Amino acid sequence: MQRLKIDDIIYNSEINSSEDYIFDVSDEKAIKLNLNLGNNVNSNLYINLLNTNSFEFNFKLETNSKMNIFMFNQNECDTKVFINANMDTYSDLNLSFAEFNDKAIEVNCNVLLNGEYATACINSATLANCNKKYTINCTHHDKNTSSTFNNYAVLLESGDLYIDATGKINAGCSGSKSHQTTKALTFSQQKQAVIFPQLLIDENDVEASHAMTLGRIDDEQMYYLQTRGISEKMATELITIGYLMPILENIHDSSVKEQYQKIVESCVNNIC
Amino acid sequence: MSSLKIVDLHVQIQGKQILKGVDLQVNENEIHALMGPNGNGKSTLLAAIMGNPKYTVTKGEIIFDGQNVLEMSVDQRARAGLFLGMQYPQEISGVTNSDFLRAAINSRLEKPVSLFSFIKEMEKTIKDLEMKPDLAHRFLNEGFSGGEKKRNEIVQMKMLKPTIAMLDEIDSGLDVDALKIVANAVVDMQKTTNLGLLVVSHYERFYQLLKPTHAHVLIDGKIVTSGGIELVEKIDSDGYDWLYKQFNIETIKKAVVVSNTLGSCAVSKKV
Repeated sequence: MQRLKIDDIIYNSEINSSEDYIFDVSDEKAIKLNLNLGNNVNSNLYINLLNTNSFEFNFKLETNSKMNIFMFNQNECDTKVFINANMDTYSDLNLSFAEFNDKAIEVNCNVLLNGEYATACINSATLANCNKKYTINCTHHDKNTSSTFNNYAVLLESGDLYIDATGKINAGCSGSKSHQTTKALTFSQQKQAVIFPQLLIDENDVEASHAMTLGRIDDEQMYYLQTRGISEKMATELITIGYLMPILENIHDSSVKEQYQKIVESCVNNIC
Repeated sequence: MSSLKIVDLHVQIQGKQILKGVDLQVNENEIHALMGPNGNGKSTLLAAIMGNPKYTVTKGEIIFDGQNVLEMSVDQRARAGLFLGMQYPQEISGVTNSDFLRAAINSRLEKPVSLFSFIKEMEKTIKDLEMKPDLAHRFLNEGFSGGEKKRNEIVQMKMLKPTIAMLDEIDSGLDVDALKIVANAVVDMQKTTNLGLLVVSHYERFYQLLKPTHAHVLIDGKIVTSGGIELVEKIDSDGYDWLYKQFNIETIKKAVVVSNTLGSCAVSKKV
């Protein structure tokens, strides 16, 4: 696996062989990463947002390419993230966005399924104890394309969470599928998440669904954990980790996964 | 010697008085059977001792090893050595049994338990309770059968090693074989650790396996009589009616059932 530090304002890269990369985005300025994944290439990409106030990530998946992207926000400052993806025929994208830090973020993600049988799965896990805003759009421009959203969030006392997730299937894109699952759990007495799961369908021959659950932690569950000697803080941590940690299942490299797991546990311990 | 002492305990829920002056002392190495008709306060007593926030103690004292339990939070009570095996254990998705139990054990220790010794003990306990080996990796009580949930309560009790344990209808939902496994595990732990037990059950069969040293009957928020195993046997054969008569307890009158009809709507008329 190659590890690259991205601290140029604009960084362009072509990936034409099936290799894995870790990108550390770590300068206090706006960074733009442009990436092209060649035909038939299969790659895993781990992007650590370490200290950047704005990150724009534009990428293209060419025909029959497959990319698993895990973006981990560990920023020490508030940040804005722009993700723009273009996907050709038979390309396959698994994009995961995880953040457990205490800094505000605004994410704008646009995925265009331009070629037939292009497939995108977009996952997020968010621990919100400040402002976190996501706008995620996936637009189907060709037949038999498929998109899946899995958004999980835990909202703490000072958190404000906004998720606007839209799956759009254009006219003529028959055989396409768009499915969304959003789950938000709140420990806050005052705050609630604002979530818009939207489906804009302009074609009859499609499969589409959206499911959303939003609710406060059950008092009986907290009581049960406490009857075993677990404090309220520790119970919150346990439930939060249980709720959000599954995002790490999208990491294929065991050493990266183990490293991220420790960071997640430490972040949750600090914030909860 | 560890002891749990309850003095003149009055407890209410949503303004309704459930316990009306309970006095009871459970010492280590004693097994107390707590019996009584449904809805008379047995589970309320156990929940109040554990500190369930739904219940309000309006009068009385709970003293555990010289400490005022009523001034302690739920988790402090557990760490002090109290345990409540629940009638309806909660399901918690995403939290595995092993993570949960490790966190619970570590909450009692200054230095975290080593992973090796934790796994070793958990595997042994799971085997003792004849549960499936994958229990440790399953989410807490999620998808468990009623019997598995009850056995998992005993797994937790054995791992957490309380001084006084309260078991609330832990035998309900267990088949005959599982009942023996649970009873044997409880008795084994009681003998090896001098555990004090307060056990709520409706069934003599479970008490015969546990062999309680004391038995009490709770009716209308008070302990009306106490004794030994012979009291359990008498209730099993004669029920509670003799107690109502002997102690002149007024039975709850059945509410007059008023049937509501839809009136003439949908009623066919004779022509």
